Amino acid sequence: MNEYKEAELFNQSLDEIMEGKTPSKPGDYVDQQLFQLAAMLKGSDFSRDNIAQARMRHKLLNRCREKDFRNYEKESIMKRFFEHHRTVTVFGSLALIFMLTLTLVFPGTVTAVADNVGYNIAKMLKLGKYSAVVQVKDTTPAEKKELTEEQKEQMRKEGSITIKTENGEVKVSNPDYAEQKKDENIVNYASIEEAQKIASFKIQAPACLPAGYELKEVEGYKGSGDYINLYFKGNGKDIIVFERIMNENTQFTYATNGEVQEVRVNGTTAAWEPGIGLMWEKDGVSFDLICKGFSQDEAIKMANSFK
Amino acid sequence: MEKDLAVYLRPELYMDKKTVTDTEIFAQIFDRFYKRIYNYIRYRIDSPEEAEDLSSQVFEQVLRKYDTYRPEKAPFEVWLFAIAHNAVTDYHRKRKHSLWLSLDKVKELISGRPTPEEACLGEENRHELCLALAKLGDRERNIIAMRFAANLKNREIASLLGISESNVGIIVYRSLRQLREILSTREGNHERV
Repeated sequence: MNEYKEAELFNQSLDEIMEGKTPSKPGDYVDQQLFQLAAMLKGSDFSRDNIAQARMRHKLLNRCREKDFRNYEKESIMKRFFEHHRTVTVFGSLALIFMLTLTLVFPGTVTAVADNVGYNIAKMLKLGKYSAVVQVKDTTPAEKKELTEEQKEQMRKEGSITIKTENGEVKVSNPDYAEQKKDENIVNYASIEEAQKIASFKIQAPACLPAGYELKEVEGYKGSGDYINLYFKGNGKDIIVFERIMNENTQFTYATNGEVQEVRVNGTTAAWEPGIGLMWEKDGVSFDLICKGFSQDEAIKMANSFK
Repeated sequence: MEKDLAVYLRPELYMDKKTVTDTEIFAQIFDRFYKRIYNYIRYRIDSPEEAEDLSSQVFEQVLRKYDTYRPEKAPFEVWLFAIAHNAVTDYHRKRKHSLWLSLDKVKELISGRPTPEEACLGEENRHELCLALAKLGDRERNIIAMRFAANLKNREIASLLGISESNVGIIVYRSLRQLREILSTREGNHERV
């Protein structure tokens, strides 16, 4: 038997040893010694210093938590609110994390969330490269502060301010400012075809709608082909679809204290929030299907019919 | 996190769907792979303290580089141990510039004197193993580390190193025979293989 054949047979036995089994072929005396050596190697654990391991774990996880916090802070919860306030308005029960919490208690009171916000995240679903849904636990306000008149004036003029609290800096935004800005920037189109001329992605609409519903409005934003909103009206509440191409500029994290469930839409992960709607990302485009009053099955049926 | 590791590692690490923050996912990765990473590195370098530092560096890189992981290209473990492999390679490259330290270590190894930690632990087998591993060639030592400390399969090692699976198999076979001979010699047993 040549060495290659010997090695092949030996490695078959080695696989068994590595799986914790006894080699099915006992081999000769030399093989048995090698098996013993292999078993010794497999069982050798140098990582006995549990204190060092625990120290390293603690250090790395702290770094990770800081990163979590920074990501959630910077990933445009603010952007979503400012640039697409209508989304937030429609997500009426949408509540509230970080700055958004602060926004809704404006004016007059600032609520600073605890510094380790990451601990309050119950669930996170990544819908794609640039979008995510975060379910947060209800948090008890850690601190309340009154805005000064000067700060209120700044909020009116600039839309937001940064305030130092005992838990670090927090941003507070003015929803009225966002609403005002939004209205100035809205563009209405006569049809999807017309909107498609300026859209930077393929606009999709549900082929399957509840009886009585039809497209009533198509809107976008001045100077941008990255966002398109579709409004369908019928016997019940409006069905609204927010579409946007996904990139570093349009990325967002949607935060809610409502229950978030993971479902599948068109072969991809989607987030279902009961009583609100579905959100998913497909082929670099984000879709929010707002369908209050419809069941999950009805929503998924609509979502699967997008084309 | 642009790429959710939980998705890539599912179902192995995605047992509890509530556990989806980056921190919690990373904690699971750390708990699951720390020993294998540390042992892999410890197999390849002689200092426990430096092995600890390198292990920390590997996990820091995992934190930084997860965006580059592509599940369609390789299993997560292969990706992870490629980082560890590169970290050790860099370590050895840098050590060449501080040869005095390396020589000191070699003298220590030749003398057979255990490091303080090893002496304290009183693990004669592990100490002997360290000495024997130090006498293997770098390639052989790496492959033995991947096979036994990292617990990778020959196929995964082959994929990581860009060589054939049968080539890995024969290197493992020869290296074990060599290790056995070194250990036997150290025990005063001069039986030839």
